[in-house]
Formats: sequence, C-alpha cells, structure tokens
Amino acid sequence: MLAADIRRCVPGGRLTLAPLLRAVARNWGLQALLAYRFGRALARAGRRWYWWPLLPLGWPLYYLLSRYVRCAYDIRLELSADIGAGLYIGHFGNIIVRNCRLGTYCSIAQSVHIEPALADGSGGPVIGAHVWIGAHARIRGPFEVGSGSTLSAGTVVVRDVPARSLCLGNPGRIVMRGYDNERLLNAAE
Amino acid sequence: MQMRSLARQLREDARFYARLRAARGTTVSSWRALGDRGWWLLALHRVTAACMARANLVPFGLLLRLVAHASYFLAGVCFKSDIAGRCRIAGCVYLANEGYLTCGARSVGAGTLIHGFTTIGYATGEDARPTIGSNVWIGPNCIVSGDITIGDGATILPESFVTFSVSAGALVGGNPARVIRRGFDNSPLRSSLQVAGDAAASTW
Repeated sequence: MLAADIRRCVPGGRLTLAPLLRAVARNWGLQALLAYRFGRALARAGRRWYWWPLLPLGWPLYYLLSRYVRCAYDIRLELSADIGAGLYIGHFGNIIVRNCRLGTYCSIAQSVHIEPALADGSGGPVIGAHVWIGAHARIRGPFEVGSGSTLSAGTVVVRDVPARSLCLGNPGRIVMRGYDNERLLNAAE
Repeated sequence: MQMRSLARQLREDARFYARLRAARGTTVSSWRALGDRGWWLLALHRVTAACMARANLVPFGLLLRLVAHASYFLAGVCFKSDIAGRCRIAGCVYLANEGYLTCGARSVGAGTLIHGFTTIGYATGEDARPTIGSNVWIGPNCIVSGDITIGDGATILPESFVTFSVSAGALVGGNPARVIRRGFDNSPLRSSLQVAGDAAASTW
C-alpha cells in the first residue's frame, strides 16, 4: 500500500533511498498521506494485543504528525476515511477527507472536500477506483462516484456519478460518458 | 533588477495596501500594510522571485537559492499559498489576507485584486498558464486555468471556473463560467475593499 502511494509520486526507475526521500520531502501531500497511513496502521494494531506495547509511543507520534500536516499544509485526511492504495494529492491547502470511502489510485488536488453533509458523520460519499478529482471539487453527502470517472475542477457533486464519466460544473452535470481519464491520472505522476 | 528595486517594490505594495484599507479621502501611513497578511505573502513572493532571478548571476548563488526556497516554504506554511517563483507580479497587486492562493500565472498586471482560496493556472499540461491583465478583480474561490488571457479591467465573480480568454472589461461568473456582461466597470470594486466586500455579498 505504501509502495503504491509512493509510486504515484516517483515516476519510474528503481525505488532507492535517495529518490524516496526526495519524493517525501517535495510532496507535501505524500507526507500527509504517510501520516494518515501510520494512524490507520495504529488503529489496526489496536485490535491485536501483541501490538499494544507500541501504542503508547505510536499515538502521540501520530498526533504530532497529523497536527503538523494539518497546521502547516492544511490537509485533513481523517482516520474515519477509508482511502485505498495509491492516492495522489497534487497540491496542499484546504483539503478535507473524512467519513468517506476512496478507491485505489485516485487523484485529488487542493481545496477538495470529501465529507458527509451532516455533522454527525453519517452518509459519507463512496468513490470508486481511478477517479480524478480536480481542484476545488466538493463532494458532500451520500453520493456514489463510479470507478474511472473524472470530476473536473470546481465540481459540486449533487447526484451519483456513473462510472467512466466526466462531471463538470456547479451543480455538477455529467457532460460525457465513457471519458478516459488515464492521461490525467498519469500526468500527476 | 537590484536589491534596491526589491525594497522599492515592497514600499509601493505597502502604499497600495494601506490606501485600499483606508476610508476614501483619508491618508494613512503605509506602515499599516505590515498588519496585512496579504502584504507579507506578496513580500515573500517578491523575495522568492528576486532571489531566483539573481541566483545564477552572482557568486554565492546557492545562498540566494536557499533564501528563495525558504521564503517559498514560508508562503506555503504560513499562508497556505503557492505562488510560482517564475510568476511575474507587477506592482500594486492586492492579495487577500485569507491566503490559500495557488498562483502559477505567467504574469499578473498592476492594480489587480486577487482574493483568497483562488487557483490560477491549474492545468494538467505544461506551460498552460494564464496571463492576468491589469486592473482585474478576481473574487474568492475562483479557478482560472489553461493557456488563456484575462483582459484588462475584467471582473471574475466569486466561485467561477474560467477556462477561456476573457476580453477587456468583461464580467464573467458561474461554474462553468460564462460572460455575463461586457463593458463592466469594476473601478468601484477595486477602489476600496469595503465596497468590494459589499458588492461580492450582494451580487452572488
């Protein structure tokens, strides 16, 4: 899972230590994602008693990391979100991802909000795999975004988006079906 | 470009900021701009741009590049803003206090007001960067992207997504954007921030 995340930021070649460190230092989104993965790993470790000795050290460390990411870059990947492998965060600033499900190999950008509409956190959006989400997109509410679809920049999703379609505008309309976003997803890398 | 010109730029910006904040007809000290987060953001960008432009020309260029990186990082962390070092911003440009500005424009003309939470130059292709003319008013939460030109005196309403070239003096808005009016005079919007706030609240 971690390898898939890092692979999105390192285009090709062998993943040695130097390009790895460079990728983590340059991609602030990757730092946020690694902090999130660490927190999820801790939450999973809490279910196995033989990991419990690590938790008193792990949770404060996670707290520090997440605070740093949130204060410095304002990327809020909360542990209530279920993010699949290979997320790419293109830019920092005003990103909120909580109480939702994201598939594998998605791309998000700055000012993207993916969260439930209600404060109690029920009814979050469900997003499929290989979805490209542009800057300033808002997905608030129990909507389903199909795999391989593309949400253009500034889209406000107000209804379910079928798979492999291009959604655009406020309110979001499906302007094309069978849209291939492979180029957009690869441009991120 | 000399170091003195950097200082002059900053002083010019400060004067512009102080004038925008003040009520009409009164004079205020330009030191008041030091309380503006937008001015600090612009100053950090000026330092980044000046250091990057000079890093290859002088000895100790590595030091200048370090300063450029530091001010770029500070702009990101303190103001959540990312202004590309190669983006040429003219004098007398107002950036709002909220920050959250992603600016990869080719150039920004004089007298332009850019509000917070705005993305300029978001496009997946390389070198698809917009050119912003002078005296443009760009509202909050806008996205201006693609290889386009925003003409002089154009007005971009809040929450709009512009992907086409806008002629001078046009009023565009909406997501996706459309031209709402041509020949719109935005000088009241730009003359004072109080007016701008009222107008933004009432028109949209």
